[in-house]
Formats: sequence, structure tokens, C-alpha cells
Amino acid sequence: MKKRVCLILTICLLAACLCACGSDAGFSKEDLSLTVAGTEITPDTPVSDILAALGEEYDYAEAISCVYTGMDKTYTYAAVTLYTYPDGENDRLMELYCEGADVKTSRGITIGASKADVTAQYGGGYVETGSILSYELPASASENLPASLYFLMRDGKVAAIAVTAEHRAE
Amino acid sequence: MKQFLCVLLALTLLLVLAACAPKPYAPAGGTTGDAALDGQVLAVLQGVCASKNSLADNVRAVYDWVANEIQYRASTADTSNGFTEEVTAQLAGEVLAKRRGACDGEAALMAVLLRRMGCEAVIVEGQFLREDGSEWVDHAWVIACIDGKYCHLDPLYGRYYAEDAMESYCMATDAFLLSTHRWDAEQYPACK
Repeated sequence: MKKRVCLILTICLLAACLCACGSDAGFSKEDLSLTVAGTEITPDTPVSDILAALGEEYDYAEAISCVYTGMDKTYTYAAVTLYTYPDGENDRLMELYCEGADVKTSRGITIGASKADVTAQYGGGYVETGSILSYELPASASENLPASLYFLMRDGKVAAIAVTAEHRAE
Repeated sequence: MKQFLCVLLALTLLLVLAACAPKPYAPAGGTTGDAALDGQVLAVLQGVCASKNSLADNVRAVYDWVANEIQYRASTADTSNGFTEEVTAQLAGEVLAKRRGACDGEAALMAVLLRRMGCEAVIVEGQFLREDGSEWVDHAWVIACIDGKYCHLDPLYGRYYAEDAMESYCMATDAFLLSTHRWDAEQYPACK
């Protein structure tokens, strides 16, 4: 009887360990990726490549940046908005914000997923502010905002997904 | 009898604790009429303000919250016709929901928060001078009436350009702000 109880307890403990391992997969640089309309886009993707992939059906706006030297630019598509910031002579992706159905993360999270779906894939290491669940990588410099993958939640479901690049904050 | 007295004592203790608990902050100002936005605004104010604080201290708490909570991102709102009530509410709602905005969004959010606190607040359309003095940049911030006195509040500039003196851009005077900003003073209240 005693041996049987020990065996059952051991199996339960092993099962608990396996479940724990499966639900906390961590967050890494490889997660900073969105596939939009079949094209994978990361913070390092050149803006020109992003525009080539998303097409020319956008509304364009630019304004002198309040924070950077140069112009902030915004390309607004039907379900995607690309925000860029000036970095010397180049424009770089600051944020790619997607509300449409044709977007998924590298771990398969799409619009309409639940919070449980998100945390099952990325774990509990998120920062929650307002309606945003944000997974961040440590910034390489103290004056920078970290790169992140964030989910805008509405009524418990993912309403938008965005990837942001690390960029200067001061 | 003993059990009855214990229950009575416990109930009395609970009532005393409930009476001593801090009352949630009740803002004195009006709402925007947008139920979702008004709910979010109230949640922010009740999270950062305290009933026992002075109005000025609560304003500083709200300023700090906006400065620290909102990340910079270009705006897509059209303010070419000025900051109408509709545009202001739209911008404030967007910034609250996404925790991101440019100067126009932060100014709109500050204005909505301050008005809900019972302060008269107007969004200033002006410019600031880049640190290297190379150009004037279109910018927006808020002038509010706090305890009978008008003053400037610019959380975005305070955070990005004056990190060691961020508080200086909360309830600032005209004389202080003129070193970095310019605006049509005839259109806005004087902040002395």
C-alpha cells in the first residue's frame, strides 16, 4: 500500500513538473516577429521592405518629431499601422500595430485569442498596463525603451497585436 | 452569551475598520459624456489621487502618472481644426487605451484628467526649441487653473528634455517656460 501511494505521488509530481515546463516558455528576441499577410516582419526589417510587403494602399502622415531629430512618419493601412522614427539618414520601425485578422505571432497567437492563450505561449513575465499585456526584452541602454511584443486586450480577447523596436526614449 | 459577545465585538471592529478606511477620491469636475472614456479617467484618478491630498498635490500625481506611463508614439489624429471637444476626447481615449501618444495626445489626456478633477484646462498650440537650438518644433501642452492660478503643464517635454527637472514643467509660469517654448500669449491665460 505504501509503495503504491509513493508511486502515485511520484507520477503526480512528474506530471506537475511537465505541465509547469510547458506553460512557462519564456520570451526571447525570436518572439519579436509578426507575420502579416504572409510576410514575417521584425524590428530589424527595413522600412522599405515592410512597405513593399504591405503595398501602397496606405494613408501617409508625417510630423516633426517631438523627441527625435527629423520626422515621425505614420503609414496607416486598413488593419495595420506602421510607425517609424528618424535615426540619422534612415527611418526605422518604431512600432508595427495590427488589428486585422491576417496577423499572427511566431507562436501562433492571432486576433481573438484569449489571455490564457497568450500566457500559455509566452508565460507570466508580462507587464500589464491598462488594456495592454506587454512582453519586453531588457533594453541595451538605460535611456532606451525596450523592444516588445504587446497585446491590446478587449473583453478578455486580443484586439490588436504590436511589435516595437528598442529605441531611444530620451 | 460569551459567543454572542465575541460576535458583537468582531462586528464592531469591522465597522470601525470600514469607517476608518480611506474614502476613494471623488473628482469634482464634469464628465466628457463618453462612458468608456469617463470610466477609464475615473480609474486613473482614483488610482493616483487621494481625498486627503490638496488639489495641487493631486495634480502633481496626475502629471507624474502621465509623464511616466505614456510612451511616445506619433499620433494619427487630425488636429488641423484645433482641439475640439470631440478630437480631445478621441485623443485622450486612444492614449489611455494604448498608453502611447505624441504631444497632442498627452496634452489631450492631461486636459481631460484635469477637467475631471474640476480644473479649467486649455490645450496650448505652440512650439518648443530643440536642445541644440536648431529649430522650433510644433508642440502642444496644457494651461490649467489650479487653486485660482493659471499654470503650464507639459509632461512630454518634462520627461524627454528635462529628465532631472521634470517637475519644473508641472505648474510652470510663463517666465519659466519662455526659455524653451513659445506661444501666442494673447490667446491663452497668463501664468504668472
